[in-house]
Amino acid sequence: MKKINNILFIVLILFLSSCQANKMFILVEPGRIEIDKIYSIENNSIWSQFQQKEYNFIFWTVNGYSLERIVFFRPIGDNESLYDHNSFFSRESEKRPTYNSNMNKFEIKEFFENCILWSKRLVKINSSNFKNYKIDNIDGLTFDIEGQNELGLIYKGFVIACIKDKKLYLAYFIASSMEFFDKYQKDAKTILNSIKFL
Amino acid sequence: MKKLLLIFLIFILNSCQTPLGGAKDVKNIEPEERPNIESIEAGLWMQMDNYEEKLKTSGSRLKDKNLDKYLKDILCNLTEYCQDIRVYVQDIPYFNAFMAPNGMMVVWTGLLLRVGNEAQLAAVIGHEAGHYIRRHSLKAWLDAKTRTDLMAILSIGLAVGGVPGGGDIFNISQLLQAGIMAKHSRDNEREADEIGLDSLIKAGYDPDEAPKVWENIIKEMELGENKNPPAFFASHPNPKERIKNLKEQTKKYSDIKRNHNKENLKNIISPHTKNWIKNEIRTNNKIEQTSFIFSNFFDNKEDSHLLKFYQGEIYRLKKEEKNNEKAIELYKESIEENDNFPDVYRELGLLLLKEEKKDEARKNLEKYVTLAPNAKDVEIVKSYIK
Repeated sequence: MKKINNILFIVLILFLSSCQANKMFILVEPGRIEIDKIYSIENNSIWSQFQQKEYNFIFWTVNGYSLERIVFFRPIGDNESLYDHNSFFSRESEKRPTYNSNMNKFEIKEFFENCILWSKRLVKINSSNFKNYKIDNIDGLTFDIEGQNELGLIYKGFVIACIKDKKLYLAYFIASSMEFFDKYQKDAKTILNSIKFL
Repeated sequence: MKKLLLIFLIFILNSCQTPLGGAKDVKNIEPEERPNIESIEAGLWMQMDNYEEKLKTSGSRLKDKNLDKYLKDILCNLTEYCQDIRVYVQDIPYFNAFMAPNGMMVVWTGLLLRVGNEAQLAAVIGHEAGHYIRRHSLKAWLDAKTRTDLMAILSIGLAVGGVPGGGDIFNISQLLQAGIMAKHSRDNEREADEIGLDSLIKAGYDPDEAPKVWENIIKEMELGENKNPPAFFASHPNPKERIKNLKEQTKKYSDIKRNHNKENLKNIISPHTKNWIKNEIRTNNKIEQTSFIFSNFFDNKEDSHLLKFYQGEIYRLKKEEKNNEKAIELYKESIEENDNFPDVYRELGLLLLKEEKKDEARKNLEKYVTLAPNAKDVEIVKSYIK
């Protein structure tokens, strides 16, 4: 009888462990937050963070990925792309845009646009307000983006990037232009302006 | 032995190229005609109506009222089915156009960049309208349905004959089925070519421009890494055969006008060409292939500086065959042709910086700032001058 009880107990544990919440999303509360041991940022509101090993990025959202998101890419080196995983959005892996540490600011902007179009996250993208920008005192660039996805939803956002130790550090905010861009762009700017490399 | 007999039977059936299942009895659609609501055709229309609704708001649709009107005017000049056909432009950098049974015609921007003049564009639009007039989608559907049924019966027959229906033989029957259907589809394409050329001549365009569309595509295919025809040709007749047929058909006409209206096309697409060219480079096709497309597009003497500039851009942006030296050489040739085009100085200056030629780089970047003092990127360029 004791043996059966033990077996039942193990089965129960196994059963309950299968009911674990999906750990891809975690709650991000206000405060100084470390992003994947790359840099820290100052956050004043509540976001949900998505993270999975096979993706080269972490993103934060409040209402959902397709409504608004801040995307933090892990630093990439020569011949790497922003989207290295075989995303179901992507196509023609041999034509995937790749980064080169010799790129100038114009080419980094082009590289980002090419990656977004290649990954099909947007089918149209236009950049504006292209400026010099410092990330934690490292010379970089910023530009605004506007685009549309296949369904026709219009997005607005902005990108920041810099090269440090030959690696590209890039993050961007994008949101549906209808309501969510205006609502979250100020928070997103504060967050991305507060980056401190670890 | 049974296997051989059954395979023989499939080959015999494959030789029957006449469309089956009533496809041959389908008559041309009349202007403003709509299918009976209970018909198969109405079902096809309904499906495409749904697709069209999505396309209308799709991000890949290029919304340009002037371009839409221009394409519609060409269509109305070619055919009396003007009110029945809607033309949409999709921003996709490949050569393609297609016609849905409900009158939705879609033209990709890659095609608009490749056709050299209005006459060539009209040849494609006339061809696509031909599919609508002859109800080719309905014919293809009826034909495909009948053949699918036939092959299902054959598969059963093969199983009864001792051959597993779902095994290799099923694959053979599928291959044959594809063979028959491709043949039928190519016949539809020939019909559409004939209608297209007739309407082209009646509308006063130069019919000799129609085969040039295919000649250029053949050349482009030969220069590319993928020798297979683009999507547009998947079920179309061999382009070489097509050129021959079009040239033969032209001989039947005596009174031919030869309008090309090249400038009309260039002017109407000019707000988009910079983007389309950028997208063409993004496809990362072979340098020779992209360069060929650009040399056809910029074939005027006054555009030769743009041709050199964009050829330089191909070398600068190419992933595998990147060649900065070649790009610099082409930028300099562009400046020799026209020394007032700002963009070339910026790209040349930035590339020279990479090559550690700082003085020369600075001079070119300064020239860019002088020529385009209000450019949006001027502050970044100035930071490189420092």
